[in-house]
Amino acid sequence: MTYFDELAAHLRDRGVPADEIASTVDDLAAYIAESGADPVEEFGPAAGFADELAGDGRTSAGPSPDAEIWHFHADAFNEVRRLNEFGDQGWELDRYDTKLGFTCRRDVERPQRWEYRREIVPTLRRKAAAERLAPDGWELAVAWTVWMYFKRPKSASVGPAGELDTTPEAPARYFFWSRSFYVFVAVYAALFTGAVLAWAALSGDIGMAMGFMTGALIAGIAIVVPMARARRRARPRPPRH
Amino acid sequence: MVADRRASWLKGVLDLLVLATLTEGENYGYEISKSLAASGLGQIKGGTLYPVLNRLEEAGLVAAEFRVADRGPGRRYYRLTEQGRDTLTEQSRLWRAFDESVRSVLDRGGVA
Repeated sequence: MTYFDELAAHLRDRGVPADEIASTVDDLAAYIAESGADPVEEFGPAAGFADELAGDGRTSAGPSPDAEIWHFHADAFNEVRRLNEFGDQGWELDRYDTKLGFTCRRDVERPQRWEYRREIVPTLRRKAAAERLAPDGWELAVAWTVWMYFKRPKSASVGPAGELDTTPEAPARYFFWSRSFYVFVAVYAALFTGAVLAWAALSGDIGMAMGFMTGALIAGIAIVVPMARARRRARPRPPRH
Repeated sequence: MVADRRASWLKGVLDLLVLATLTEGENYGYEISKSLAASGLGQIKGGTLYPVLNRLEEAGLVAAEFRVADRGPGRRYYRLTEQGRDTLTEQSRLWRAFDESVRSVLDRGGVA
C-alpha cells in the first residue's frame, strides 16, 4: 500500500467525500512529483496528516517539525492515569482515533510536563464544559463521544518544575490495558456466551447459536486487526527537520 | 533555540503569508511553498502548508479549483477571495503595528 493509498483510506475513515479525496491525493501526488520529496518526510505519517486535512488538527499551522510523535492505547479504567504518567515525561495529547488510540507529541527543544483530566459530558454540553475549565488553564485536547480530555502544562500548577531537563525514550509498549478492563471483557464474554448457550438450550437451535458466536468472533477480529495494522504503520516518529 | 523561535513566529503568521502570496494571482501548493522559501522563510513542509490552505478555504478566504493535467496528476489551484483580500489588509495592518511595537521595545533596549 502506497503512502497515498493509506492517506486516502484515512480520509475515508474521517468522512471526507470521495471526490474530494481523489482531488486531494492527486494534488499531493503532483506536489511530490514536482518536489521529489519523500511523502512521509514532507507530509508526516498518513494518519496524522489525514487528521490535519480533515480539520481534526488542533494547531494553527500543522504539526511542529520539532516534535516526536507517539501513539498508545489505554482503556477507560486507566487512561487518565496513563496520560498523566506520560504527561510527566513530556507527552502532550494531540488527538484520538479508534485505530491509533491516543496520539501524543513531545517537543524536542523545550519539552515540558503535562497534566490531564477527563470529563464525561453529553455532546451538546461540550462547549459549556470547556468554558467552565478554561479559567483554570485547561485546554480541550480530545473530544470523543461523551469523553472530553483536557490538558494543561504542568508549569501552570508547579511553575518552573514543569520544564523537563531530560526526556526518557518513548515507551516501547503501545497497549496499556488495566486489570479492570480484562475483568470487564471476561465478564462481558461470559455473560454473552451464557446468554447464547441458554437461548440455544431453550430453542434447540444450535446452528443459530453457532452463528452468534462466529459473528462475535468476527467482530472481535474486525476491532483488533485494524488496530494492529495501524500500529505497524505508525511507529514512533522522530522529529522532522 | 533560534530555529524553535523562528518556527513559533512562523506559526503565528503563516496564514497571512499564504494569503499574501496569492495577491498576484492564483497558485498551487508547491509553488506557494517555493515562493515562501524564496522569500527567506525557509522550507515550509507540505504537512504544514496544506492544513493552512484547507483552513483558509473553509474560512472562505481562498477559493480552490482542481484542474486535471494533460500529463501526470492534477493540481488544486488557490485564489484569494474578496473576503480573503479584506482579511489580509486588516491582519497586515495589525501585524505591522505589532512589529512596530517590538521594534520600539528593542530600540529602547539599545539593540541595533
